[in-house]
Amino acid sequence: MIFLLFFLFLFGFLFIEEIKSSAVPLNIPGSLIDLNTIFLSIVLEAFPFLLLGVFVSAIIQSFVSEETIKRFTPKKGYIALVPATVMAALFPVCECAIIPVVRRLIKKGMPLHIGVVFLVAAPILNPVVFLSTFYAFRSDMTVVYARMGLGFILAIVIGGIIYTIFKNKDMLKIVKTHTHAHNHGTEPSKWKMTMYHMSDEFFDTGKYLLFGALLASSFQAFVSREFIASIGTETWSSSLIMMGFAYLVSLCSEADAFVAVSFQSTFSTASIVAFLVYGPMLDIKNTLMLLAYFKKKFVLTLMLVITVTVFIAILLFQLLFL
Amino acid sequence: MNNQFYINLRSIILFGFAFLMSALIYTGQIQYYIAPQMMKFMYFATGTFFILGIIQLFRSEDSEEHCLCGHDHQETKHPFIRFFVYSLFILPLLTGFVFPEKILDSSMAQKKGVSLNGSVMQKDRPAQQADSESSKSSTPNADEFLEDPEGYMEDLEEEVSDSSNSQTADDGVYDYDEYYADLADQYKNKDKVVVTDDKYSDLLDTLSIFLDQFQGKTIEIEGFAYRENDMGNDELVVARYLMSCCSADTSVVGTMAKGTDLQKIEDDQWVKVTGTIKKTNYNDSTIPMIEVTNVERIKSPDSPYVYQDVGIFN
Repeated sequence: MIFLLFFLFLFGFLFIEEIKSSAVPLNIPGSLIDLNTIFLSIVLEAFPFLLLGVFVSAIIQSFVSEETIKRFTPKKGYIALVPATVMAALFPVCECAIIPVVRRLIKKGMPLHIGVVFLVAAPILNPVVFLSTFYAFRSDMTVVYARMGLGFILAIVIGGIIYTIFKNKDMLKIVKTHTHAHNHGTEPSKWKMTMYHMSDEFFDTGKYLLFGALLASSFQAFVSREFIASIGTETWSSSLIMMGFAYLVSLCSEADAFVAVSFQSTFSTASIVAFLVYGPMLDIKNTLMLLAYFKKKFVLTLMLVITVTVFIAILLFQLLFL
Repeated sequence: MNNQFYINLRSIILFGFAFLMSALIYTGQIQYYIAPQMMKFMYFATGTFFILGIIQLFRSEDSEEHCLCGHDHQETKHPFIRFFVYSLFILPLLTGFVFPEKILDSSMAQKKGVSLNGSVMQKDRPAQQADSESSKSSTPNADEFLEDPEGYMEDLEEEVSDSSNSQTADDGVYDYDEYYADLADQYKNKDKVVVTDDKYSDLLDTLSIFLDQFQGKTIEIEGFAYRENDMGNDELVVARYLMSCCSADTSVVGTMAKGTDLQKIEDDQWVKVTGTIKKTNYNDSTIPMIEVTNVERIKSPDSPYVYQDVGIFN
């Protein structure tokens, strides 16, 4: 059966043009093809970054000792939050790549709240994201500064709240632990192990990414923006709508600014900032990925904390600066 | 089924992705999904999938045990869930190989909304402007000023700079404004503007910023026909999908066109429109409009999208 599948893919590889042209007369409904186009594009776009994330995670697993991590992560407590946020800004990765890395770092002894700071800050405070936001919103720099500023402040606030609630309890999902002795004589080389880790983790995380991409693309293909615009007109409701929208479309934080800019005429600046800040922190695909690694109770708390703090911050931002 | 089966299955799936991506790259169909500036990431992923696939192929169950020393690769044991999970991986492979590519068309454009002059067209926009501060209207009103004085002033400034003759927009702090001004200068002494794919969105932006300067010039532009519900038979939007990274983040940019010749053009038909640049009011904002002198049906272009070349990934 496996060989059958292999030859199917090989056949597809060799005759892709013929297959596609012979599928044209099948009259697959247009909306289904649109759905597929968006689904595949999210998946294809996310894969390199997911691979990068699991690669870094696998490297850490194989080559970085727990002592090193302890030495380099800021010491525990509230004081650690600021340097942690600065460190997160140095990670030039978006949300797909950061989750496996953070999980690994926490496993290797990094305090939970520092990990959370990485999770929420890295996808926003990131040179590529800054540049794409700058490019998209060059006519309205408020949005750019607000996104970066709120990203920084909120990462610290959210990390602080998580520390207050959980301290340093282990919130990673418990997966059966064999404490077997290694037979060092026949152990595969470290690089080979890294590769094994990498492909295992690709499958662990990839299934959630795929499922999230499927949901997000259905949403994009079947729900019109006019409808979204029509349900939120007040500042608070439009901010909530844009946060919900960001959650559902699950765009990569490196590209979401270009989508947000097309909303500029329909939505208030505050709600666009809400979209740009909330989306990278939480969306369908990374919720599913978080559920794969962390306890349900923790993920739900984190989601609640992020949602409430972002929402309050947006209202304050609106009050103070707009 | 035993573990070795799943190890092999994973290997095949990894190969599948490598095959799919290289086939899409080889045939050029990848451009329907991914913007050219992201291509180097695609090469990286394809290569990585091949390597992982090969390594996974030679992995035996014995070595599996060693890998479990990380204790974190959970494998769901329930056969039904396993089936579902692997189907999730195989689904994009099957649709990727089988489904024909189709450029996103006007039905999708309706869902996304079309930007004419940097503003998303919304049928119910005027109504919204009346009762809500959340939409930045281009006709400022007192309510908006009270709610949002700074934003109001910015709007006003934008409007002033939009309508002023060939002046750098805003305060000229940003290089991009100079870029637009330079672009506008290039066309100062020309009578005809040909909108090419590589400068599509830049030119349209420039056109709406320096509309007065461009007024009266001849324009030649290609795109697919799109009509809003409230548009007449003789009106249409010459539209293109603008992609920044992948087709999930596309938005639609377009230029309004008007002329009796357009009556025979049905939605989604690719056209090359030639005409004179005029100004018009649509949903309370001033936008460029082409008074059509000639319209020609063309076949869909080789490059389905126009791209926002940000240059940030290079």
